[in-house]
Amino acid sequence: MLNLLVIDGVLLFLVTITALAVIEMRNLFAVTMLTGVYSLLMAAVWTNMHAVDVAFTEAAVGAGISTILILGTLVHVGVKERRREKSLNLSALLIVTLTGGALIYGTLDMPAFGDPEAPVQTHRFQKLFDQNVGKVPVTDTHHVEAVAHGAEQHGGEQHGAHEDEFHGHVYNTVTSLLADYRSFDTMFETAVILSAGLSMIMLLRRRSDEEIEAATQRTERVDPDTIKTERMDPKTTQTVRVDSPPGSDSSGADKKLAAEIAEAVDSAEQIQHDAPEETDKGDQV
Amino acid sequence: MIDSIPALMVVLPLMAGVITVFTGKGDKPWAWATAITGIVFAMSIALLAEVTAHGPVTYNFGNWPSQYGIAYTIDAMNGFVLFVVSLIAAVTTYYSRLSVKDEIPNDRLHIFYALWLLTICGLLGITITGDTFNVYVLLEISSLTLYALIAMGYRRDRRALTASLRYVILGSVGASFLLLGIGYLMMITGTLNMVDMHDRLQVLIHNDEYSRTIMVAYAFLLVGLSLKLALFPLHMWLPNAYTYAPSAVTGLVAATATKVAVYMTIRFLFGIFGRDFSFGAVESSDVLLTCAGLGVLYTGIQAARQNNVKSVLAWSSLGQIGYIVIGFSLNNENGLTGSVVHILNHALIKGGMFLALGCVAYRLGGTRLTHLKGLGRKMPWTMAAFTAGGLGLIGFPLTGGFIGKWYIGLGALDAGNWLILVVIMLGSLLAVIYVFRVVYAIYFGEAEPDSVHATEAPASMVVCTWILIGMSLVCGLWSEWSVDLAANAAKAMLAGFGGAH
Amino acid sequence: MKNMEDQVVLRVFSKIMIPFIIIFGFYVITHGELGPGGGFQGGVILASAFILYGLVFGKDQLAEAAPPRVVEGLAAFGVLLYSGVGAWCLLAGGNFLDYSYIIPPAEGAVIPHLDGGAEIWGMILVEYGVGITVCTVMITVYNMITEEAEA
Repeated sequence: MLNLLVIDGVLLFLVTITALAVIEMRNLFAVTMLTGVYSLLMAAVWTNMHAVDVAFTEAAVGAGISTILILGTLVHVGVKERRREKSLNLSALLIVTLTGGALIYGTLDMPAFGDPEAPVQTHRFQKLFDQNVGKVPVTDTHHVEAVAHGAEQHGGEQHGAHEDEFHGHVYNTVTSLLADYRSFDTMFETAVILSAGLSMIMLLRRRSDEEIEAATQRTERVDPDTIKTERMDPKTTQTVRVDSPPGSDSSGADKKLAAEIAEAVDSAEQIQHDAPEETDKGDQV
Repeated sequence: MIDSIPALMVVLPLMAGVITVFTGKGDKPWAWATAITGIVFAMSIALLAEVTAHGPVTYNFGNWPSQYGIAYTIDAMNGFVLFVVSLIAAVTTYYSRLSVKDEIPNDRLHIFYALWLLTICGLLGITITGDTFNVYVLLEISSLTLYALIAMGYRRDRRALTASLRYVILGSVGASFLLLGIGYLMMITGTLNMVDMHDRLQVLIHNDEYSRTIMVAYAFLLVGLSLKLALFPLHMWLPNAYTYAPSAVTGLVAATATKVAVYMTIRFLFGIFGRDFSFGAVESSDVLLTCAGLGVLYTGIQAARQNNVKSVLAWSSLGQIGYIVIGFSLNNENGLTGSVVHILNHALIKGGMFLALGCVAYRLGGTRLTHLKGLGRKMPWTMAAFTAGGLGLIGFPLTGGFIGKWYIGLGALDAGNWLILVVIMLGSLLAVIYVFRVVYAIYFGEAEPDSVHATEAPASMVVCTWILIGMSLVCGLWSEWSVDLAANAAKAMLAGFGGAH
Repeated sequence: MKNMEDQVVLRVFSKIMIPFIIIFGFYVITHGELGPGGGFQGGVILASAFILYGLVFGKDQLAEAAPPRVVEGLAAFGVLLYSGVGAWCLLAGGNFLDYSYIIPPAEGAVIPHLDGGAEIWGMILVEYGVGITVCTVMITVYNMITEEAEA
């Protein structure tokens, strides 16, 4: 036990140092590498806590894929972070300290780590761990009274099965939780990932040729608003370009021309949208 | 199949949303989405009827007992909110065909509608579920898809990107606060099921066990939820997100997203912690009333200063959220009834008004005050809808907006809180100012040269706008049914977990 | 990125590694019931094989090996597989995602899940659904990021 504590202590110390370094560093490439290191260290911490599945995920996702994806992003935004004028934002520090303080305050009453008497261990855990929850008979599932209070008592007994038929047992309890007891949640987690992918496609995909044509035609319908530029906000005009001109296809001069037209249309629309408005005041509130 | 309706309410939009990716181009994605949201709306009516007639309904996924698996529990409260969300979803989806074609690059309409259906799936899932962690997962789906939908922007307006980024950051903070709160509760109760959690929490609170952990969990949940529902000091993400999003998206979001957050708050405060803890052991009533009251006044002033009509309405939404928060913070039946009924009425009014602005944007390419000048004669139906909605925002008698305010006012009287009555009056006065500033421009302004040739918006768009506005008027004139449903919901929530006991 | 295509060591080494990574990915997905891992982790490992290929051989080669349209279709298919398993159970007469109903009950048996084995099928199918979606979405995200970079 002591060994584990020592290892945990060292790991958490390293994690803290890495986190501080991530905050302090201005070179984003180094920051990316450090977040990878951070994830690896956390994976070790999880392993120490016997949460092997979490460690596995942390290593694969945190240290692996997300590092590559952040690197891909760095290609666009560059590796240097712009110097901030104010190095210390007091109100932000106050909020963060308060939040952290509250979290620690909440742990004061918490059951100790691994306490066998903690509610998490005593309430439902044994049945889940033994995989003998037993299903509710379908006919009884309709109204609350039957389930909220009745299921526990005669859920399994009705068909005489006290164990869950996982073909023997599922040795990895985590999987039985994720893929069966709470598989409905896992389905939506998968959907979350899909929506992330779909969002990327929608926001970043290059426009197809038809779309460029359509955009050109649409200029005729856009009303020629008075273009005023005196209060144009440089920040908003320099946001990430959503459409990249499809020039890299190198599929002919006409396409490039079309792309240029589309871009011109885009920026015309853009300038128009950037005309001064009272709403921008919302930013300063 | 009837018994499966609770599951289908959420699973159908999910599967349909995923299938949308394969539907191809043109109007097909739209037609598919419209059909699905229509079916979902029909199911929500059936569910609401069932709940009203026979009491709460539970559905166990995978047939596991509620505490072990995931259960959906539908009572008078979330049955009502489900009805509101699916109604708005059905109408805005039907409306969106021309508007979305105009504002979104046409090669990715199928992706757009896939995300659109997934948003609706997320919002419905948050409302219907009886499992606290399931709330968080569905919140992730609805937020993530909304960030993307908003970031597309009205005709790819790039300010939508910064607005959406701000929403991403604050929304993620809110979501992670919720997760922390749920985690703390899970740790001390050992369960994620709402009914079970409620029962075990009451025992813990009664025995004064883990009191500091419960307190911190409560604080984190309250702050996280306030961020999600854009309560006054935490509202910064909302105005620009609403203003620069595509018109149809604004209509959907404004009418549903914050309403669902309000529902979550009511569920957590009344249903899980119980009103004795939320408003007795903790003095959150004063905090919430102060924030909401100041919010009503501040956002009213801001709304009157905007030049883009879309952001006038966005700021006004914040004020209306303030009323709803005031209603349930009063912690009495009239106040809570007012909140619940205002969820419906404000969703109808604000949804309808944003759709009306969508019509304007479709014809004129913008929604600034200058665009609306003199449109009263060019687009009479759209502008009439806008004006009727505006009257509702003010809380004019015989409109839907009046009913909610009336009950919230009654609740304030019951609580003996005169200051709140004054705030409601002042808020309505500010609403008069910002609504009539726009209405004056519509009917008495001189048309700008660009809008001289504007004509009435396409029939399908105007009809959808009028469905929502018309329903809000109906709810104002014949308010019994909606008030009855809301009062049922309020009674159930005041009694603890949805009357399951 | 261009320079990487000249690196002989990298090219040869990654060509050797990629099949192993893919097999390990499938192993992790399939063995989720027995050891640590499951659809999510396995999917990420699978994706890393493709991303490695893309990094070393360029995105055009990757697009040839894994056409973006197919990848995106598979992402949607993964979720459909998952929810389809649930819907199948619903149609077979159980509740949504009640795996006991995946295999139709034997003649005369009242409670299907006593026949055993169905749960394990459900879990494997579902894990593959997760794995497919995670893998393909990661590839898509990588594609989308690099698409801009080279434009």
